Amino acid sequence: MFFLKDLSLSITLHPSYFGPSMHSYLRSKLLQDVEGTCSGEYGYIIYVMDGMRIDVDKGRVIPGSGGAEFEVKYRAIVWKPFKGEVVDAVVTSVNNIGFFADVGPLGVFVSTKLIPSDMRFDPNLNPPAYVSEDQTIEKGSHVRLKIVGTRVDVGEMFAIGSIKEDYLGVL
Amino acid sequence: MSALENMFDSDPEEDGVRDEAREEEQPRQQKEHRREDDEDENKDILEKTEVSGKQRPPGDAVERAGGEEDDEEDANDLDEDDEEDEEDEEDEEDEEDEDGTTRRKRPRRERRNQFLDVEAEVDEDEEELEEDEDELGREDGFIQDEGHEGDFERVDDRLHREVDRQRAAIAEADAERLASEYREKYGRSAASKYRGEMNVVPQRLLVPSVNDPNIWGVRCKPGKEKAIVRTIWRKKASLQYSNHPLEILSAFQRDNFNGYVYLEARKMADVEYALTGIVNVYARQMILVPIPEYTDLLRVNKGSDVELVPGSYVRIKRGKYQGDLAVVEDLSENGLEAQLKVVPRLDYGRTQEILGQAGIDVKRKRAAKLSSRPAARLFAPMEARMSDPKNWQQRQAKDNHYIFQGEEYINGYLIKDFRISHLITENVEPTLEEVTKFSSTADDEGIDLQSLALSLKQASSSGTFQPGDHVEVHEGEQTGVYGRVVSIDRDIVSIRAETDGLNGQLVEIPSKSLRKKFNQGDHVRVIGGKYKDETGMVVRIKDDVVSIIGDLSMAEITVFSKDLKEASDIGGRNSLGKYQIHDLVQLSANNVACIIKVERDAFRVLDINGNAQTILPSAITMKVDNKFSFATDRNGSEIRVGDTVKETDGEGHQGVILHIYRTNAFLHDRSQNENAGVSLVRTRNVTAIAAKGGRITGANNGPDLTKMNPKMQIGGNQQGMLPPTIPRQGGRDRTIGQTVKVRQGPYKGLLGIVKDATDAVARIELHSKSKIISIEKTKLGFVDSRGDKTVSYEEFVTPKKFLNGNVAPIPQYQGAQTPSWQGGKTPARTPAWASADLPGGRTPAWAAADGGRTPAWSASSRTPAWSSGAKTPAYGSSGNRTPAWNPGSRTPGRSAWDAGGRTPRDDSGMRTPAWHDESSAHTPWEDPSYGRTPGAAYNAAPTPGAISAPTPGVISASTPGRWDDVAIPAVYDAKTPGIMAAATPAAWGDEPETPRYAPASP
Repeated sequence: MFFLKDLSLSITLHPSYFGPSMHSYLRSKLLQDVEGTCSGEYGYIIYVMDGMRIDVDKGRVIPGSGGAEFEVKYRAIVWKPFKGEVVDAVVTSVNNIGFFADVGPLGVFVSTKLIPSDMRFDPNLNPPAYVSEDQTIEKGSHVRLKIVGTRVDVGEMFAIGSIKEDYLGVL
Repeated sequence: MSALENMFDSDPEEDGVRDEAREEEQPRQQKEHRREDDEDENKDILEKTEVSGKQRPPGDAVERAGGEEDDEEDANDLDEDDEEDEEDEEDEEDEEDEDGTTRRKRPRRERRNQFLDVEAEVDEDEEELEEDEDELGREDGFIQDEGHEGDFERVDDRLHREVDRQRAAIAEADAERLASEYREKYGRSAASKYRGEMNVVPQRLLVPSVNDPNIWGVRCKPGKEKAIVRTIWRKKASLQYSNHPLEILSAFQRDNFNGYVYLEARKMADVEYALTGIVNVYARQMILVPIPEYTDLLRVNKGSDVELVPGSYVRIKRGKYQGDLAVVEDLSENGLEAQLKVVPRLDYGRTQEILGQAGIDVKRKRAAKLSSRPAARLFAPMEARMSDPKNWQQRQAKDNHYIFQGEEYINGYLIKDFRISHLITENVEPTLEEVTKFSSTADDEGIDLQSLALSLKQASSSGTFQPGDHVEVHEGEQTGVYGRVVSIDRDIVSIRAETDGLNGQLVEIPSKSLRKKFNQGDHVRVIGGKYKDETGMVVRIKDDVVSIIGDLSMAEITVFSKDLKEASDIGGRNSLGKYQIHDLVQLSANNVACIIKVERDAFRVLDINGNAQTILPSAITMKVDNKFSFATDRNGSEIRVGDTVKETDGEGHQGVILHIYRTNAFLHDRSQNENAGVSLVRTRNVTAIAAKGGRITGANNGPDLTKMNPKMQIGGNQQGMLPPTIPRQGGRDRTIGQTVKVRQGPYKGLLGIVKDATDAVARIELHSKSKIISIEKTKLGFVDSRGDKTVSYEEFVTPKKFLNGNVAPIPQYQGAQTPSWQGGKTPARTPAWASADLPGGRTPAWAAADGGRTPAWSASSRTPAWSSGAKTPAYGSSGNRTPAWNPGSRTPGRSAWDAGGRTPRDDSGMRTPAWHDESSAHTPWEDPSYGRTPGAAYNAAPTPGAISAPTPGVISASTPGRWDDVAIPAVYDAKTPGIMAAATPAAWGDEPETPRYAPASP
């Protein structure tokens, strides 16, 4: 689910960066540090809004190092997958124990146990696919799946999905 | 005699359960008893032994040396007795059982004295009856009295009175005598009569006292205890009527106390005598068992009763099916045997064939049996028929019911009776694999979860649950209730219910009707069994069986819910010893491997040859640490550990680089199933997709953040931060002979005269001490000619040169130059400076530079300063400086780029459009082929970081080919300002001495 979230980040700057373009540097550093990252609390930070209106405070020189710390407040679009959420995904790989799909930055695994029993894995097809009478799931297929569990690793998330319910499966 | 036999025969039917009280008091009572009966009964038994014509089977662990008792060894044991030694091991088990029964016999006998008719008859028949008769007569004095009767009638009244008196006296005396007589005679019975009431008497009153015989424990060879007891028994029996009978009362051993036999005797000497000549017993190591410990010694270890019911799982202790899991089908009525269902281990006559061919006696099958045990698999009727058709038969009633070699097979399973004593009923802990063998289909649907759960519960009734666990009631009236465990008291688990009706209530449930509850998507850790420590996410739950997808392995594993625990962390077992998963380890001198899976005590690795193998930790020489190794991909871009790359050919692996080793890289890709996602690729076959942390790579020209740091721009190179180097100069060192003052070090403050000097070091003769010291020149202060102040070495050297009119390049400049630098710089700069109309000549060059440069450069504020008239003459006047400028560097420079570099310099007017054309035609900034080179070269020059390592490589590698190329002027022109910018403001522009410099140059 997408959220608009006010967040903040503290950036430490080396004194050699102090100067007229310090703010632009802070901005670009913020974007670089924050966009595309993932935390267990907020999920993925997709986009930092209002690039020009990022609020940078006055900064504080850190005693002993000469650097300065800036608290940068920004508003970002975050996306966090939830258990039970139904999402659309693109299949990235298919094997005998299930298939992997990407939901944007999130990798989802759908186990055979969570694939309708009429879909069988056919390793002889090229590419290998799960096939039933009217559906085929192969690499690149678009599927709609339901997230049954998520796990937060360092810097990424991972989820287990299911298509064993009504209205789920190949789009 | 017959009565005795009856008694022993009836033994097995006797219920073995006797209260412990009797067990404990038995020694004393027995001893008393024994002393009375010893002689008669010994005689009987010895006779019996002789009659049977062979040694009595000494199966008993506890054997009375006196031979009071016997046992009920069955016929089998009698036969095996001869090959006693061979069979020892197998017998042990039997003996254990009989051990129990034997111990119970002693009290039993006593009880029988009271209650059984047989005993009563025996007593009447034998001595007691006679005694009784005698005593009856004596008691009343009946016979005697009759004799006196006649006298009474004949004599007078006096006699009557006499008789009366006598009678009274007799009666009086008799009362006492009788009492004592009776006490003596029926003392035993009286004791047993009391027994019933004495059950309530505390047992401690029944323990042996100091008056009882002692028990000595004697060390012996472990495992030989029973044999020794038997030998003692024989010895006792054979010496009984000799001159020196053994004076021991009993000999026994206890299974709990390995390596000891116990002898009961009055004197230690008796024990020693009994043990002389008996092997395997160490009579010197004899301990007297303290009296209070008798009870402990003889305590019966009641096995904790596990009630067997049909369907429960057991393991077989011995024989062909040792250790195999079996299902109880039925129980015999006497409770001694159980009918089990086992997966048969049949070889269908193959071993026999082999043995037959080898000429080995098939009967000596013991060795063969041990060496190769057929694999467990379901009964194959056809194979069986082929191997031994005579002993093969199919039951008509049921199709899948066969008799083969006397054993029964139903649905492929062997159905056979086993003695319960040969079964392990506790801690069976069937694994899922074993259990699935018993399911009728291959699918786990067939598992009999009921019975499985039962035996599992038995195995671990309480330890499974922990407070906080999510549990669910799966049987009983609370079925369906779920909640969290609050507390556990043995088998009773209190749960806080979370179901609607009972929400928040505390419910107490026996742990066997609980099971852990998980939901799809839960993150769990396996806490027991084969997959211990794996973590994963639950994908399916079916009653007690949960399927999870492992976090690291990405494989699906199925475990019992009791073996799972909710977990928030990941991975679990990914280290063993000092090695972790994904570590690069050295296997041999030329083989390294990446750990792809950590198993219980081994690693699964993928080695540098692409082979996956399982190795022990001991096979690892060391861990290879190459975090900073890098390589180039097929496009020449730098790749490092942590970058994401893709294989361009081969299997098209893609993933994050775990390690780079020589020309190979280990990639990790979670979505790969094979080798736990680790693959081995050649670095030459991969292309970088994304660099770790957005590092700039050749292929991915992201924004260079160092550009944002103005300091980096100005500095140009980090040498700017270093103290300026002093140029070498020819001729005599000017410092020699100078008066100097030491400014640093231990000699600080002392004056002296420089006697000799090298480049950096001067030898100074101190004024104060007669000593010559060596000291760095930079640590010296030079007292100037006027003598009023000291100047540093740098100052001392430099201004002198200017004053001397000794035209030389600025020190920093020349010092910083590398040959390639100078080569690159000179031609480019020369035209620009030399051209008469500066703006015309330079503008395009600037424009080009601006276009190509990063915005930071576009701080064009410098340009005006650049073209400032004030400075230009200074430069422009370098007409005769030029020769001096690059006397050394020109020749290589020229040869390097030929006329291309010089031509523009000569006719600056012509150069401008040509330049323009070329740069626009080639658009070096857009054309990828050029785009990279100038980019690299360009970046390289001003970026201090880059200059340190890779730049020279880049320049030297790529330039020669392009040197003659038309694009070069653009390239170098582009750079020139950068260099000049770096050099100029710092060295010239800001230098206060510049004005001085100008006049000096001509």
